[in-house]
Amino acid sequence: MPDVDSLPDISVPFATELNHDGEFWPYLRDPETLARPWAVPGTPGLQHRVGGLEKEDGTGNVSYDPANHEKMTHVRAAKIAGIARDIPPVEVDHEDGADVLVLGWGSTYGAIGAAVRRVRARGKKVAQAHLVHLNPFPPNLGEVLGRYRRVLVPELNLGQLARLVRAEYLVDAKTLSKVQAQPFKAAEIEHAILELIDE
Amino acid sequence: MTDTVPPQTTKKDWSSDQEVRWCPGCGDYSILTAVQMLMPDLGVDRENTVFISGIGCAARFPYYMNTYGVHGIHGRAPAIASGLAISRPELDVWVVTGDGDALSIGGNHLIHALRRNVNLTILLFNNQIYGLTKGQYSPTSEFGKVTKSTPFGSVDFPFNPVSLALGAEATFVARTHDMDRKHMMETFRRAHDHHGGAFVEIYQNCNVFNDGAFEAITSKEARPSMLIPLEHGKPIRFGPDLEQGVMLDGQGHAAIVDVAEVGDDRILVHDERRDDPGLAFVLSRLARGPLEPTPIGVFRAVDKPTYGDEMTRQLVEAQERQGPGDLAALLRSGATWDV
Ligand SMILES: Cc1ncc(C[n+]2csc(CCOP(=O)(O)OP(=O)(O)O)c2C)c(N)n1
Ligand code: SF4
Ligand SMILES: [Mg+2]
Repeated sequence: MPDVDSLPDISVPFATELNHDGEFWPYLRDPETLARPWAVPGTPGLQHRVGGLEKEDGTGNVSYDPANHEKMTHVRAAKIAGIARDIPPVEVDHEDGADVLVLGWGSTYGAIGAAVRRVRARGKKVAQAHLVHLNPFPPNLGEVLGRYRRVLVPELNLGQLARLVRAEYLVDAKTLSKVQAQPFKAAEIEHAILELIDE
Repeated sequence: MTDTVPPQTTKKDWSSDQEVRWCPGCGDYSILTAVQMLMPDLGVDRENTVFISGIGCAARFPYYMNTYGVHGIHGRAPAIASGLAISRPELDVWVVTGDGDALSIGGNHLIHALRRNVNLTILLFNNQIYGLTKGQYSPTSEFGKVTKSTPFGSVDFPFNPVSLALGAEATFVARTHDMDRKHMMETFRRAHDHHGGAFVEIYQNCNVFNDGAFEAITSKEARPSMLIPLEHGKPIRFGPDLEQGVMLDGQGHAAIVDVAEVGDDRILVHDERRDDPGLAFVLSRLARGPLEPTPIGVFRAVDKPTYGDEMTRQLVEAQERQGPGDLAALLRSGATWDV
């Protein structure tokens, strides 16, 4: 368990000052993170409105301008994509000679790990990586996936991560799906890995 | 909280610079004007005032107020507002919602916010239709109403919002309408000054998709004989010469009677401070819809501890008993193990 004093300070610096020529612009953005200033109720002079109608870039005025809407949609997507800079690169448990990667996420970690150990115990080579972040993906994921001949994605659904990976990186990832409200058995994943190694 | 007196403001100070986008002639304009005119009199600061809405024509309201504002999630304004009101008791938190927003998708949020007596002022703009989505029936549309989504007439029995709020035991329940600015302002002022969950139904004309829904009772000519003003401590009387009144019959129903016939002393005296919401509920059933003589004004105004006050009290007491919180101690207070 971490020492409380060692935890990073995640307090949010709230806006308290006018930020644009004597006005408060709630949709100005931090050039790096694209985050907007956050003025909370109770802050004198910074009254503003947020909500579902599209806003003009910068001023935060309600905007019905089509071009502005498209621009703002890109800005919001870029803001989310930029979070990748703060995500640690995905680590691969690689073995020299492995050309099959098992990519997992969430609660399948234990079963995938057990399956990988079984495959290795048979003297075969396989690599394993487990994702903690799904949107955005870690910045090095595309490069990692490109290193392997085959990618296996075991998932307790119909293959949602595999679909994202295929769409994002044009990788021919193979789904191992199970939807029985039961966890994977190591043997099930082991079997799928061996098939890919031998194919 | 500061004790300084807020500076004198005018309606203009409370109006934002955003273009108001309702259909010309919409009743929402007169409600907005009433609120903007009232604000300078409430003795509050703009920066400590927050308007929170859901989705709908009514829900655009916060954009037009020069205060903090959230145009929020459909039906969820009471939830967002509850969090804010509870965590920041020094703020004045208003909710603006429509009959669809509050009573269809948001029905649950509304009744629970009222039941909990969260310190909110909730304004429900009831036009008996979904305006924004262009005219589908809503939970307050009358039985048989023909709309785009009920081509052969609605087969739903509508909610009476005042009855619903009273059923949830809201501590302040009132009704007003968009044709009478003075009545709106007075009702909103009372709702604002109430400490606890205040609910106001506003009959609002949607002149595009449900024009004239309230005309039978709110038009200038109709008002004297069709609106029954509720005033605390006064006999409930109406009519051009106050010749009609409300009396309880032997079965616990409220009935409209001729005052001269039954005698003054049998007319019900309105008591908004009754602890039991039952009689207020009976009054709310007097009209089956806005086509019959309909009570307006404050149905109920009672004091009850608010959710926020109770929560704050518990936190203070717990800290007095156990000292200030210690995260490190809490983390290590149970069994821990390393994996
Ligand atoms: C989750 C969700 N469901 C449905 C809608 C579609 N919708 C938008 S406004 C609305 C109802 C509006 O009616 P009301 O609350 O009476 O507001 P008015 O427009 O009449 O003021 C609906 C169903 C939506 N925007 N979001
Ligand atoms: S659709 Fe109806 S409620 Fe909406 S702005 Fe127009 S008149 Fe008002
Ligand atoms: Mg409506």
